[in-house]
Amino acid sequence: MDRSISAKHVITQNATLVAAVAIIIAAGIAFDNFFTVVNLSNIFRQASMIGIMAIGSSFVILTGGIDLSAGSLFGFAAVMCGIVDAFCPNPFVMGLIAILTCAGFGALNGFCVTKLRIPPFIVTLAMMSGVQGLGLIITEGGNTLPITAEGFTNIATGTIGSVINDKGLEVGVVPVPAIIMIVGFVIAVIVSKYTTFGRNCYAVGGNEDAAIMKGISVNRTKFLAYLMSGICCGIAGIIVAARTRGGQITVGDGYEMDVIASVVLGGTLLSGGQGKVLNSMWGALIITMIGNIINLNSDVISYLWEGTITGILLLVILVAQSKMQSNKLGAR
Amino acid sequence: MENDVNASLLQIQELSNKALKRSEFAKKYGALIVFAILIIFNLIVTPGFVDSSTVWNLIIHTTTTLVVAMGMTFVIATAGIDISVGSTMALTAVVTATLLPMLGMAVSIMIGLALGAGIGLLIGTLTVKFKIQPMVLTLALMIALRSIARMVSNAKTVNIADEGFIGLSVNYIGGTVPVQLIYVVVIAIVFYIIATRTVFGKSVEAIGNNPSAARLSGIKADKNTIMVYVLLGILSALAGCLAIARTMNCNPSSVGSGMEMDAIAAVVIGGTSMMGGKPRILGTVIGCFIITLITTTVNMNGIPSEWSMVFKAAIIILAVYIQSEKKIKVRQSKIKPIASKEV
Repeated sequence: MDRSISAKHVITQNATLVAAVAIIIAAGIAFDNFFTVVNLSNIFRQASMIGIMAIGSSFVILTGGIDLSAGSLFGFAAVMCGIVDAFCPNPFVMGLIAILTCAGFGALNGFCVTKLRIPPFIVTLAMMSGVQGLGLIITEGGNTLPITAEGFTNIATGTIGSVINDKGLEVGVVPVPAIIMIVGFVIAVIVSKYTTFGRNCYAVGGNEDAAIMKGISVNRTKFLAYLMSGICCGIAGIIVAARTRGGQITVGDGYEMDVIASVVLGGTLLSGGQGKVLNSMWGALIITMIGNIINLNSDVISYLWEGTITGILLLVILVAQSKMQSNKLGAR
Repeated sequence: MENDVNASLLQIQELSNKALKRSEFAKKYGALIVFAILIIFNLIVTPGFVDSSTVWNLIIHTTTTLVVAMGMTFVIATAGIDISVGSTMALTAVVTATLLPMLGMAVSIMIGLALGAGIGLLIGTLTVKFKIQPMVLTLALMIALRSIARMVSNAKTVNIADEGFIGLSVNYIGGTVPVQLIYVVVIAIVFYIIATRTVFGKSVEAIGNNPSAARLSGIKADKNTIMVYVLLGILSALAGCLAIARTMNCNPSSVGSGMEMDAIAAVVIGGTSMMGGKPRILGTVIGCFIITLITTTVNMNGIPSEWSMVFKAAIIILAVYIQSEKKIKVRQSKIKPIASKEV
């Protein structure tokens, strides 16, 4: 009996991971082109961008806020890479400036939320449109800025380790962006569990008044969360710039919704204070896999289904989550 | 001794009353002030701004946002939110446009409105019965409904040939005054009356202020919350019809895209709090006009249209900042400390 409870506990605690594994197994059985090294490494490569942004968004959402500007910041980082590339084609400098710019926007978000006391939804909504507008102005209406810096594309296309596939060609196994994402999540898990900042995020999101009375600096915690979200968008933006070899602002259109959806799929509550950062990674993987499966089998499923399937899956998970919540409350 | 304490308490009360009045004033007139500044700016700077066609254009471009924002005001007043309105518009519009040649204007519009009401009913029921946060719920629907809308027409643009239907949005009264003027005036008056003079409007305000208190005082909170979403669903469908009647075709990928953001921004600029509370209909009307006016200003001055996005961002932040709850500044010198005397 004891064991059955703990097994149930493990499943409910890691529902997103279970769902991700279930999708992998089901897709692997149903579609023979899914379970290949190239495809799996592609999924990780694609998921890494949403995943990295989801790290920052998880912290923001844990504090009870929301970041709608992620997609625009992501695109703007790519544009910054393109701008810097024009006069200083050095991958390190390009990356640094892109990250610093996004950190600046993140700080501006944090400033408006904490000091000006404007609701986060409105601040980041305005930032989404403002930053996109700026990007369009800089690129003169959404042109792609070419990137020629040597070695820059390795950030996105590089791999570690290789296998020989059935055609006798050597293919890479672990893509660099996936490593960046996993390292990011390891750091994020440590930060959320073992640092004052991480614990403060839960406290602020759980009950802001109680957090103030405990002497937690609510403003500082929120500010840092938005700053972090900006930095994460910067990193993800560098990857997309390296992947597409160009800086384009519109590349991030609609990404903020994918990011929020991955965090929500990961079981983090939008009211703040509850959730696990690591689960956002499984959420990002699920979202990417749905798109990937549909792309691979476009002769069977029309690409038009992608949104429907993602949306309905989200709905089902939300209803299940609310059921679990009410069961928990009922048990008490 | 006691008198002293009472006197200082009275002073504090007076100060906080003043602060309350100030914040009420800012909420009521903040949007109006920003709108006035924009108008004055335009009168001075923009060439050819003083012209009846400017006003008519402003009204034509505001109508769809206004229709959605009216419903959004009530939703936000109950402390909810709906970011699926753009996708609801797309789905109902594409269904209406597809049925139009077969069933005629009246029936297909009715089906569109009923579909919108159904979507609202779904959102309301799931929010109330399953306690799912409206933000994530409507996020899921935003993704799903847009995709379904594109499936309905196989991602193709549906052309509209029905003269009567197009007349909904491109008729002119007496040759110059757009028919939208009537919509804007009627809708603003009707919803102002609903918000201020009906039990429903007052219930919405009570639910937004304190849902449990509202429930305890006998207000059917669940029913009213569902009603609010149904109302928004119907209005979104109506906005969808007006939008496609104006463009004379229906592209399910672009109808209503970004509408959720414009509508929410208009409501918040208008002074309705995102934490729930009083639905400020007139504020929302002005908020809608502010958003359109920014675009108009940028276009009429020949500035690249991308700048309007940046200005929009700055003005939204400014307008909401004017209304945000400031901390009550109690000057120490004005009030004698009470704590030391209480002992």
